[in-house]
Amino acid sequence: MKTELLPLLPALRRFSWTLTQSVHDADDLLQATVERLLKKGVPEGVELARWAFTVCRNLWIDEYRARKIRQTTDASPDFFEAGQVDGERDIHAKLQLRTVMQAIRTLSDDQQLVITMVAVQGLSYQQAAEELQVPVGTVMSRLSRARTRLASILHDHQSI
Amino acid sequence: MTITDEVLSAFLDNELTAVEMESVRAAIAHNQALAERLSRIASADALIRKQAAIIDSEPMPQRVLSLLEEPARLEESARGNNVVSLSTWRRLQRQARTLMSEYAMLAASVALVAGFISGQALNRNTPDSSAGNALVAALNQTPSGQMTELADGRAFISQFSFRDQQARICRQYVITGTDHVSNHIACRDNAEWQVMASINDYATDARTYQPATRNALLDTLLDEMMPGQPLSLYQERAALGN
Repeated sequence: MKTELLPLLPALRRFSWTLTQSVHDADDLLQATVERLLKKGVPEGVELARWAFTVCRNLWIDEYRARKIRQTTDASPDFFEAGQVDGERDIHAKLQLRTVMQAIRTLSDDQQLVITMVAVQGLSYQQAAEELQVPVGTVMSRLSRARTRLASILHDHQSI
Repeated sequence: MTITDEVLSAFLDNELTAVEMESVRAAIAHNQALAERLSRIASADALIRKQAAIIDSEPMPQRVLSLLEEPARLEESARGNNVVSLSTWRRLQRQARTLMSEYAMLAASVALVAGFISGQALNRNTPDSSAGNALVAALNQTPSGQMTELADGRAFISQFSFRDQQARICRQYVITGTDHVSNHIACRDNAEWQVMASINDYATDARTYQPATRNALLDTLLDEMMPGQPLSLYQERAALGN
């Protein structure tokens, strides 16, 4: 399984990062996911690639979601550290990064989960509904509310 | 049909019925306000995905990698000689493309599978012809770098495989016929291969056509689809289940 897990890491990491909005927590979650997969394996008839995301999501719900509340809005990741990009682009990029992070943090957990599963992981509505064990209509409405909310926050910010 | 934000959101994901999709498309074409609403939702969505990609610039933490590396594999990845470095590969492709322009490439038509732009694999290319079955067999079994002949006499060669954002296995491959070469990306979802993108090139003389050619459009698609590196032959074999 170790060989098969290795190429899944980048996609799983993006998923973790979108849920936790913290590099440190994302890597913690990723590590916990890998450890759980190695320990418990995959149920019969389930594809590893799909199961890995399910494990990650459940770990987030059980253990990492609560950390969101304790994060301060001033906490910004150490991306774009010295040497990466030039000054002006750096500032603009940092600003956009923080804005999007703050916008994501205003979403409910349900909304954040659905938008991560559809927009980042790339699941169809049907697949997301099966994973979450809710009707497709619920996926549709949570997703729509998440997007509308993000759009209005991000749009308002840009027009300032 | 009232076009609510929920309808627009589902339209963005290509999750409405064909009739509804067409209806929304027609409505947007005549309604600027509607188009703007869609554009706002779409750009928020695009920002989420762009944000997700930011973590790629941080190196994968060693504490995670060390959970997966076994002694033999450590040596292999340290050597790195069975993994095609993507930057090297792209440089080689640019060189091949320069060479190609010296041959008469008369027409290049690109058919992007509908729905790709929204990140969904929709065009289910499930061939039931023997040629189709041969292609599916080649995708499932033929390692990258090895040419195999399809039932109808065309040649198949895959140059690399990768995991997409959903961690599905995907393969880039080239099909060569007597007067026609095409370049494709297909992904496997639940044992079924779906063609994500196709680029068709018609050369005056296919014998002089170098199969290892991509264009800038395919590069852009791969940037979107591929969060990591291409798979090594070993990983590819494991991923295909061989």
